[in-house]
Amino acid sequence: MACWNVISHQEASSGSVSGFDFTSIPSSYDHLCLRLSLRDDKSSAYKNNIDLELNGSSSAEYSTTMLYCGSTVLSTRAQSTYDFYSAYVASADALANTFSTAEIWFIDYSNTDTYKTWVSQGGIPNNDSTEWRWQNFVTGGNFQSTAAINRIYFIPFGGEDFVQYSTATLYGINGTA
Amino acid sequence: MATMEAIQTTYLEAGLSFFDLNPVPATYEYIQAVGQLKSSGTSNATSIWFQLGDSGGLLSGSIYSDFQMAGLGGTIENVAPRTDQTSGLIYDAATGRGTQSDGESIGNFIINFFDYANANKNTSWSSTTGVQDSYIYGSTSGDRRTALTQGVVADASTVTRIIIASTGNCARGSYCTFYGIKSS
Repeated sequence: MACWNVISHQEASSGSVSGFDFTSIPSSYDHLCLRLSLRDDKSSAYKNNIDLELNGSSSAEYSTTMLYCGSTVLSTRAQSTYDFYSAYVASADALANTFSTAEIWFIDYSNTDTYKTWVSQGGIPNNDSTEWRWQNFVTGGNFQSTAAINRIYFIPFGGEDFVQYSTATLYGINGTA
Repeated sequence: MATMEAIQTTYLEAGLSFFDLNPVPATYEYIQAVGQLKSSGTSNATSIWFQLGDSGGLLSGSIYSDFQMAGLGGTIENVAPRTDQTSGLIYDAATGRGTQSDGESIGNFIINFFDYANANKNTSWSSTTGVQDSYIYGSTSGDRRTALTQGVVADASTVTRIIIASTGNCARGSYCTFYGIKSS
């Protein structure tokens, strides 16, 4: 059995989309890895939060901690109850044609004994070193549900759209049999 | 066919000073470079640099920007951002051959180039690196750094070549594997 497997690849190929939605995720893998290349149309902004929901839940079941930096600031923030700060996305004022990167791992996503957790890392590259016009981040998160993850849905935090050519690929990762 | 495939592994022997993936197959969604690098330069920890190429040759214009957050010994550090440079740089990610360097130490890197074949996007990249150089056990001094670096190459053409080196020549024993990761 292959180690890495493409579950689904989604692309805003013909125009903007409101979000990406991976449904009916099989429980047959050990881990999930979500790779993102994103840009949204939030105006007068270089970056935006991603609002990530698991299993369709928008209730107060999420907790995240993010380590991030700008040009002079390296800081951390914690967020409980809400479903954001899992990653950032490049916005309309970032360098043209430039897309943010992120990789989010959901470890042992299908077990039904423990809460679901993830780690992510990524960044918003730019050619402008002014504070908060670019950003690096590392995030750890917890979803207070023991149910297997069968759906991953994410949108720009303020209801903006992901622009054309944004992509999201969900991989299923196997361990040994 | 596998989703993640090894494209090329290079062990640097005498006479080779950099890693060169040429051509880069356009059939993947991501290229991931995983390796270890020691510089033949005379400093201690030293940097990794890279250039991309397209059908017109190596991209050597002032189009590379990169940003790093790092743990340096017992402190945290924001490395000064670099914008509009002629090559990409991952600051202090390789070991050197400085007078304090441990000859057996070597820096580690994982570099991801996202959606590199898409001709509508600049090439965004990110890296995770770690180097332990000129350290003394029991002390937090030395060039010991772990870093998350990311950047963009302001050129939307399809990437057809990737060169990775150190700011000095790479020393014998350095190696790199380029992986291709598919999306279908």
